[in-house]
Amino acid sequence: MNDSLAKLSYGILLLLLVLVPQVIQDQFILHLFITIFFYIILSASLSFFNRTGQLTLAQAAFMGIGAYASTLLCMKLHLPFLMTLPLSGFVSIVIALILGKIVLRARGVYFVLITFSFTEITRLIFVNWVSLFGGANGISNIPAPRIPLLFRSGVVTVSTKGSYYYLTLVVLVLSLVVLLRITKSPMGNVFRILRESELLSQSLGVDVSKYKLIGFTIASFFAGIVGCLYAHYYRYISPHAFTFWESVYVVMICVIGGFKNLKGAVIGSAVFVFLTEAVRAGKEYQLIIFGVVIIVTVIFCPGGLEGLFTRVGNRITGLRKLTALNPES
Amino acid sequence: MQIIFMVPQILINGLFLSLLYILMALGFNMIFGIMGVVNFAHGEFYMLGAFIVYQMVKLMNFNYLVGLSIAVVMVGALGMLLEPVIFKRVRKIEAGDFVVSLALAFILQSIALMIWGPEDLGIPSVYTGIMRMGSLVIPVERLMTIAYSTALLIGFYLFVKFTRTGQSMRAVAQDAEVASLQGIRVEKVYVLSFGIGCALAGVAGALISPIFSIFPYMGGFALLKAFIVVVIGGLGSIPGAVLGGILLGMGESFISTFLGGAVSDIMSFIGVLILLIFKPEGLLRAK
Repeated sequence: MNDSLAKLSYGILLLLLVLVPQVIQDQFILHLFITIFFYIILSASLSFFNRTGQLTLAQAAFMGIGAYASTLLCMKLHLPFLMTLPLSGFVSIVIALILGKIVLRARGVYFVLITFSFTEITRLIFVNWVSLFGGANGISNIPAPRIPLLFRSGVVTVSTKGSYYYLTLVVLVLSLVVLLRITKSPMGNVFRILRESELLSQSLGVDVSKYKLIGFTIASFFAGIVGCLYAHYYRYISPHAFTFWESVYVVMICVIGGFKNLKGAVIGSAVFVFLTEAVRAGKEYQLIIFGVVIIVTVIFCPGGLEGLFTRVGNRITGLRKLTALNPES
Repeated sequence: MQIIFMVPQILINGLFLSLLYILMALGFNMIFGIMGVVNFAHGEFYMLGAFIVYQMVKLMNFNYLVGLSIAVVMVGALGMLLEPVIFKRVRKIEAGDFVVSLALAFILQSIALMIWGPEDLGIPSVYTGIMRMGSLVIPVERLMTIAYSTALLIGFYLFVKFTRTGQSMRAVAQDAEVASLQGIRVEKVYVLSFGIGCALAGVAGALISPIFSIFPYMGGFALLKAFIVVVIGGLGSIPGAVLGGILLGMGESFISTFLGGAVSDIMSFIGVLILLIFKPEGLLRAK
């Protein structure tokens, strides 16, 4: 798709998304959108880290870390939301740096197993350190975010689904913009070479382990941010929300959506959430239908659904390309 | 001191667990070693092995050994069917095997749930009685399980070491490209290996069916143990799986006797993490 057309369509998409809560009042649908937004941030950052050739099952752990961090900072230290949000990200970064330094030397499946163990251990800590984290019962009565207004004095309490939709959308757009910026920066170039060939990158003098650490840290930062949003949305957190299954779903989303670019994360998240809801109609057959759809999607769209969407998009704009005589597609 | 007298008992219990864990891990390890595939649905093949025996023995009145054989063959056949249909096609896809086997696990669990329901089921012990040797107490059932597992493992070892098929499997595990240059039909080896790997899981399930309870989510237990064994012993290494199984089984037996079952679970996890960080290839290097 040519560039300005792409920008136009993203603009339209954003406009539509902004209009959604004005048009749709159904709380459940708004909830679905918010869930999709959460997953997009989680999977986009995972996809970014994946450029270093690794997969992490630790996104759920960092989500939990961010959630508990924001909750504790907010409820014990009375810090405002606008401070706890980035702080959740930074707490995740610190832990990711420490963890990454130790474990990123592992490769492939071993690294996946390590991040899996880390997620399990983090969860066990949340469950067993009852005085700090509330144990299996978690922490409830988490306050809604109170955000000072820009143009007028006063504070908005983001307690309705509609307002939380906008909050999450803003964070989502900011996150995607940041990720895109990084991708287009010189550092992003390094990540692109890394994906192609780690060996080649090393021969070119790239300090692979440094970039793996950077990628891992970035993924954990965004996971932490999602954790914070999660905590103040549900107003209740418990270790059950941060199991390795969440990490697995994020990987699944990247596989069905595509690792290649951010579009994959968007499409994958939307498809995943809608699919999960759609199969409820099947009752006992739910998981069977879900599993079959996943398998079929992976087999027939090897690069992910985003490849499919791009091809369809190209078909639709095919006529334009012919008439524009554009040398690059 | 009383402890000295407990040791043989702990060893026997540990032996039982070790052999079980080795069987659970062997198939998983094989599939990874030969094909590089992490089969998340491994536990489900174990589960199906147990359920098929249940179906044959409890509901259709077959003899236990006959039921066991049928279960193994059916589970192995299922594996051989799924490899070319599903796993072969996702070989080149990033994390494809991971996601696909996970989806498969959901599907198999749901099917089992629908056919047999969520309740714990069981089949009566095949061998009754308890054997006593001095202060040692072993239910005959467990003794027979130990015997069968050992026979199976020896048979498997002989198969891999001395038959042409076994050798071609080892060749493919070492280097698939070179193996195909040697005239080995790599695709056929993949299908067979996957089938045998699943069959091994099925056999483990079939063997424990008279001892442990049978329910659709029992696969998670087997998968977890397989992971741990494989991490300890090394992914892709068969002697490693044996070593790993022994260490895990004996370790659990000792720790749970003296410190309780919960501690033993946590210890395994911590041990796994430490190993992964410092010796990810496992205690025995693969190949």
